[in-house]
Amino acid sequence: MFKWIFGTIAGAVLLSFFVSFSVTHLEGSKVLEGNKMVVFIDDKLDALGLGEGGNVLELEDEFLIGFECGSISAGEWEDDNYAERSTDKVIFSAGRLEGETINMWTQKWEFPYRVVTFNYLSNLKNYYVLVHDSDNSDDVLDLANNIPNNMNFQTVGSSDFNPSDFSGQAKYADKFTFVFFGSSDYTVKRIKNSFYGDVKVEIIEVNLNVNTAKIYNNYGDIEDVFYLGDEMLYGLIFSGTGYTCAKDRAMERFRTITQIYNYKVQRLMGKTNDPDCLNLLNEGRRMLNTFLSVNSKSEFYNYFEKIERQNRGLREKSCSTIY
Amino acid sequence: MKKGQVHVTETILVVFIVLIILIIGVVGYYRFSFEKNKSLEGELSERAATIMLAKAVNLDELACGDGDCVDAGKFLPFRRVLGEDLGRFRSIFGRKKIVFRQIYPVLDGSVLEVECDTANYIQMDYPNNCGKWTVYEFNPDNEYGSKISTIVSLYYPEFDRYVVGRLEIDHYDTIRK
Repeated sequence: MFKWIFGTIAGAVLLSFFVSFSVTHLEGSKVLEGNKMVVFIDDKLDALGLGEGGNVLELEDEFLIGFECGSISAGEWEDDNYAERSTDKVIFSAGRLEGETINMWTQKWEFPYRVVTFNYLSNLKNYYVLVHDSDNSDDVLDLANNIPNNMNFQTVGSSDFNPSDFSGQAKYADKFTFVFFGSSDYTVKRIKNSFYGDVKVEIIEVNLNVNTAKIYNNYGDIEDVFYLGDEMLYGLIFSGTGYTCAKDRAMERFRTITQIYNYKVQRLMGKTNDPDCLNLLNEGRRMLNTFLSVNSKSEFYNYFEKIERQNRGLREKSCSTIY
Repeated sequence: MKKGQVHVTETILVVFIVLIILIIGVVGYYRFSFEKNKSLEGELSERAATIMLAKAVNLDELACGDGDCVDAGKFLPFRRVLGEDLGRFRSIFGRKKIVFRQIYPVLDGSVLEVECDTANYIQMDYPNNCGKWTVYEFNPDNEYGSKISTIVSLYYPEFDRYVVGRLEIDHYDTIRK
């Protein structure tokens, strides 16, 4: 009798030990899998960010990848294999991309000097439709031609635009972004009524003349934004409602780089003996100082042109340049 | 001793030996796993440093306007900015030491290890009075690092001159979270 009791207890202890050991290892390998995925994506973005161009990131399995502001995550928050990693990259994307591939495109943002590399990410379940009118069709087609083919972009004239034409694609889509260059008569609700199923819809109305836009989210709420350069306009299109956060990160980098140029010019002034160069550099330094604190879109563009002109002037006089 | 007692003693002895073997196995397994993870950590740290090597050359904070060289005129401003926002740069670079050196034209042996700082910069004989710029260093535990390096084109905007330089990254075996 004693032997049986003893054997049962000892067996149960051993069995529970092995079961807990296996469970711990299974959980560990799941966590490792999620972490490996975010490191893999971060590394790929690093490698791609060295140059400019498009690429396709093949994941070995179907993954849900989140590109929130300043972080990359893999999996759902409540899952065992959820992993998150902070990143310094400026990423414009739909936020959450699900599938086995991620389409990537990188461009350097220059304003007027190189500031940071923009990463644009999408997948085949995110569709973008650029709607142009007769006044801006050339500009819009130029914009669209620069985008790699795998990023799911389509262009259509405003007179031919009918949301029902996209209802077939909408069945398989996670998100549709309609970008109207000029104002539009369409609301998010009206477009969603043309679609079957629960596809997410965002509308962006871009005014190319003044570099501003209105973003209408899936519920029709409006956000007014501006952009600095075509690179940022692409970011606006790719990220939609996530644009402001990514733009703020880009502006943070912009201020850091501007501060570096500001300090650099101060030092260059101490190294030059030519009074013309000294004056030009001093003027450049004052511009950079002001550039650091501007907030309005018009001032950004104003100082962008001033600094670009100043740098050209320094080059023509064979002085040390700002950038 | 009764026969029953002998059986119980034998059983306890067998279980005890099995437990000892089990404990030795588990301890051995954990030690092996720990060593494996340490070596993986080292590998990943080296991979991160290699990526950082390529990234640092192209880092907009340090690169020339056209991106084909590293702007030596930005080193001291970068260090100043770094001091103002250390937390952010620590999250970008992690536990590393990033050093740029001029290697050609060859500098006088006495200045090779002299750090280029503001005091050296304002001298007339700059850049021949110092040999290296430590643009970033974070090693709170004073760990011993492994070094990787690459050749770079260094540009002095003050003299509109290009020289051959070397970027060295010391990485410490702690992976950035």
